[in-house]
Amino acid sequence: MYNDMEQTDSHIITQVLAGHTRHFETLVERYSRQVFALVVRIADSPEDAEEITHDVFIKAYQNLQRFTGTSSFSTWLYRIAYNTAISASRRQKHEAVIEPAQWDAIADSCVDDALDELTQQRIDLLYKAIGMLSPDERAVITLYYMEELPVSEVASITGLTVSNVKIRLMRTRKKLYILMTRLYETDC
Amino acid sequence: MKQIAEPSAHDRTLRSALKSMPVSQTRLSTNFTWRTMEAIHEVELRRRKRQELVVRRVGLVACVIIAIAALGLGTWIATPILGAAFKQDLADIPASAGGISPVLGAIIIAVPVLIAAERLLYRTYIKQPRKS
Repeated sequence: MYNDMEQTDSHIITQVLAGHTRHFETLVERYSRQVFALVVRIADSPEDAEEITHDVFIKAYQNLQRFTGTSSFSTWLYRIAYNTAISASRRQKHEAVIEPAQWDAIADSCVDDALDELTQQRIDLLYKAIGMLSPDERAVITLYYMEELPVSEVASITGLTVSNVKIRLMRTRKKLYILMTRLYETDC
Repeated sequence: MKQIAEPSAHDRTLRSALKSMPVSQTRLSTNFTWRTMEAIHEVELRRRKRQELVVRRVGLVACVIIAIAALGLGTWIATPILGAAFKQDLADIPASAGGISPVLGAIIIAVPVLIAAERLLYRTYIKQPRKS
């Protein structure tokens, strides 16, 4: 069953596909901020992010007849945004590399504690660590923690399976913990 | 099969760090919607022009095929009715006209007339004004 927002979205899409291009403006107004919020975290540059967001809406318009309605319009748009932003940021390679041995040496409880302790020092370290993640990792944590989407929807947007999203989230959390520790040691 | 646990949804430090990123304060430019809609109108205009070009080309090819088919059909129908004399007349045609065969002449006249008819029909029934 669709809620009012979904009905309105599908109504607008029908209008746009019938040739009333100007109705697409409502969708741009409605979703541009959300798309930008995701893209800016993947692209890591507000200037590039605005251009990517612009491209996302043009791609969405060009492929609107392919929108089948099996997912919500926002999920479909997020998928375009995710793919466009990932392709655009593949050129920027500044992610940190973690040795395989380091993964196993960390207990999950340590990660849980580190990521849930609300001190300014932790927030600052984590903020720096997020900047060292790959665009894919930043996208997944943004969708899960910032946009508060369920794992199934994150999977639908990223094209990964639900299990793979969970694994990626777990690994990203561990990676953040390792990077925080490294940064802490460097700072001291 | 081992069930993979969902990661902790709490992670307050992680949420705070994500929210404290300067990108959270970054906003889209005020003319973003206008700029995007301008680009979309251009995309739509280009798409319609491409579509019109395809329709025109298909129309033109269809006209030429119909003209050739009509000539062939006419000849095929006329031959048994007019008999052997018509065949002889057709054979004599190139020699009778001063340089240009009347059949070729008829084609030369018919093609521009058909093209003009195709354009007129296209403008009347296919080309629609932009709705947006």
